[in-house]
Amino acid sequence: MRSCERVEELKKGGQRTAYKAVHPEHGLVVIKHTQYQSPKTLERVSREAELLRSLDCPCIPTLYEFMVDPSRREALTIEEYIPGDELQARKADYKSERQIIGLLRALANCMQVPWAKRVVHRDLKPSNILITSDGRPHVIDFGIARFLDKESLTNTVAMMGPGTAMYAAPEQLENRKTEVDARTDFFALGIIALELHLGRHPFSPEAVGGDSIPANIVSGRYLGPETKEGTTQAFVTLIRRLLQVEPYLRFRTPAALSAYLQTHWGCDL
Amino acid sequence: MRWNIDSFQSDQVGDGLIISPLNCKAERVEALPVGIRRCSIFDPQFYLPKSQKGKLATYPFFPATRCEGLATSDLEKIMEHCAEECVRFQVDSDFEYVVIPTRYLDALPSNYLQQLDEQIVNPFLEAVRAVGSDKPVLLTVIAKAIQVTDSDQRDALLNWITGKDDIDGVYLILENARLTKQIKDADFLAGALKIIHALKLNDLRVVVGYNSTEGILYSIAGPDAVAMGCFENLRAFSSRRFDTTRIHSRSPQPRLYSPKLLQWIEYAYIEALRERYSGWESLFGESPYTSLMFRPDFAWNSRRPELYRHYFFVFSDQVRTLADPLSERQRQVEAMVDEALGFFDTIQQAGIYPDEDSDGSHLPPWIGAMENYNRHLKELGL
Amino acid sequence: MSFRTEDEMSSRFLEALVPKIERLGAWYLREIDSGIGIPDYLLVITSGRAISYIVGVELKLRNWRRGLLQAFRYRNFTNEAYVVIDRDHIEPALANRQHFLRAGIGLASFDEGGVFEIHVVASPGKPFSKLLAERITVRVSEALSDFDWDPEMTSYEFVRTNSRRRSLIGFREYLAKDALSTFEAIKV
Repeated sequence: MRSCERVEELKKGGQRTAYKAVHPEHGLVVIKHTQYQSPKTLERVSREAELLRSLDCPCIPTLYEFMVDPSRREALTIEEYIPGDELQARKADYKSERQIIGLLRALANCMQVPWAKRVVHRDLKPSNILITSDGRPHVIDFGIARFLDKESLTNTVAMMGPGTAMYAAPEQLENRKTEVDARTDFFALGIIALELHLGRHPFSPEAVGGDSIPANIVSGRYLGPETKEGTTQAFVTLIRRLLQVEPYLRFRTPAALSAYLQTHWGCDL
Repeated sequence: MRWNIDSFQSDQVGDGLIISPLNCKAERVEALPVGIRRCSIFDPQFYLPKSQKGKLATYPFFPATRCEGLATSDLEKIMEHCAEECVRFQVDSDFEYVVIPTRYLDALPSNYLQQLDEQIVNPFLEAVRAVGSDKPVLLTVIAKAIQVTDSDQRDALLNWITGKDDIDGVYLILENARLTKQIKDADFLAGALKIIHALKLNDLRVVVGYNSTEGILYSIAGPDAVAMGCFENLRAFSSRRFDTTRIHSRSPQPRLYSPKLLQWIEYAYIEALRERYSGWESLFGESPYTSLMFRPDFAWNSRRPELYRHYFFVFSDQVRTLADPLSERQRQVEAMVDEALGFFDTIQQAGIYPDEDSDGSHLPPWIGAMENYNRHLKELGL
Repeated sequence: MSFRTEDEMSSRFLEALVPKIERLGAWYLREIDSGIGIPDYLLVITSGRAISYIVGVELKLRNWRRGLLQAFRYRNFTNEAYVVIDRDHIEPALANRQHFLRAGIGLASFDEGGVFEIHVVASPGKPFSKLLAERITVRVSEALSDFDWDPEMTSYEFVRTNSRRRSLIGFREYLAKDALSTFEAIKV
């Protein structure tokens, strides 16, 4: 970090702080500094690093460096900085069905590489989606990405697994870890798409009653896309499948999701 | 198996065979004509891996053959080798699919699915990759009654199956222990339809095994194939068939399949029908075997091949003439059930009183199951 | 008062009816396995060395429907079949007598006092199945092992010899006889 210039703090939370800086070799970067107490934290950070290094995808930040200082219990990753706006700030660009589908298609393409390596993001949400100036979405913060082939780190006793509750799938909220796979990310994409479509969070108590967003997610209670005039049946069916409480009723594979998008909206998005 | 092969070849019944290693030596399977193997399914039958019953021991990849005195802890150690040999056998034999077996458990511990993954499924998936086969892969799944009828357990099973993106389909066995010959549990039948539907929604191939006439009912959910089991013990799954400690039981009564009644009718009622019901022969349909069987001097017993060859012939025809699309098929099956119930009514009017295994009492649950299934589809709205 | 068990009913039934059965020159056999059911009683009437008529009897405390189904099966190898219900529980069966009439199965009641009453007379006829009728003669011949070899006997069909005792029992198909059925003849 000492070799970097113009370091400014981006985000601070829990054990980790993220900085934006100018790296002499790589240019604009994001530096994530983690102070860890337990080996599990180190393993989590190492995992993220291993993941990013293995992915070769233009819409996921490239990992440049990963360093660990065991004596100080610190870990540092330096990854590509994605200059863009969070999706929330650009929601005006995604009002029509075709625009939303275009975003979905691009996100699904983005996630093809990690999904093919059996990696689930588990925390897809508007603040983890950056739209660059050319309109391309990028997916960031694989901090809690789950390697399906490796043993999970999260506490099996926890009632709610890590992940933001507002965009979490029922299997995450109920900590059914063996059921977390790419379809968990599909659920999050469904919420994101529907929120853009309706202009409000579809699972919020203000929209549909109930006690809370997580409670509504678990019970499958949400404001349907058909409540907005002019919604096509294809879009209704898409959302219905993405937001099924049980993973087995959603699209089974990324290819199945892409095929559905292709069939109903063609390839010109 | 000889009758099955004969029926398949000479009567052109069915679309393929399901090979049972319990009944057929390995060398015999290998000697089958390649044309038959290519459209057939090999069921590895690892249900009771310690079993050495029947001809299982002729297969070197069968766990108990590989490791005599097999303990559960040995299973995981040897499964890697068993899996590779078993997959290679299926690929080299050019069967239509590579079938991943399953293990039968009486009770389901909470980590049952995880155990299956560790002990059998993962080693077999690894073996498929290692062998480099491009044949479609079917996963054998035994769905116990509780998993079929209880929605939470059914969901867990379906999530497990559909979460495996390296399988192409399921060899589905729906276990229903019962005292009657036919399933009469409408909830079970509806659950079975929901499972088949969910698997098809996931674009998985579905081959239903060990079914009886309810295969006709299951067809409304669109499976790719249903089985035609020769003997009674092949028309309902039971692990007892593989259990070496089981004492051989008495042969069942001879029965004959009636496509009009959607039921196997016990011989004890066939003579009563001959006596009191005019046109009785038409209830059983036409096959090359009816003229022999319906002669008064035919010696009825449950080992007569004509009974089963007749069944293959008429059931195969029934399945082949099922309508498409599925909505049309359901209407057709409903009509078949109504017609059968009408026949049972006239049979009773004629003074014939069959017992609960020949009286059509399994058919009202079919109606209940279809109604339940339709409500489910409507709720899903997919 | 009702019978407590079917065994009790069966013993009392036998006590009351044996003298009548023997007067008729019939044999009674208990629980012979026919291969498709085990009648509580088979009443066997012989003519010379041949079986000329068989009546199957099923005793039930109250389950008339089960009794009807069982008795109907016995018609595969008998000329008549009856269901005998504990008199205290006969009403439901009587309310469903049309089924007995339709099936041609007799319905009777019996009580602890030995009162035996026929409510529906069985329709006599040939056994439905020649195959099963022939089989029952083997079983009956094993039970009725007192017969000696008699080459003069004309039987309808030779079925099987009991080689140990060299008995020969044939079954003669019995065509419908006169209105009074055999069982009715032995009622109290």
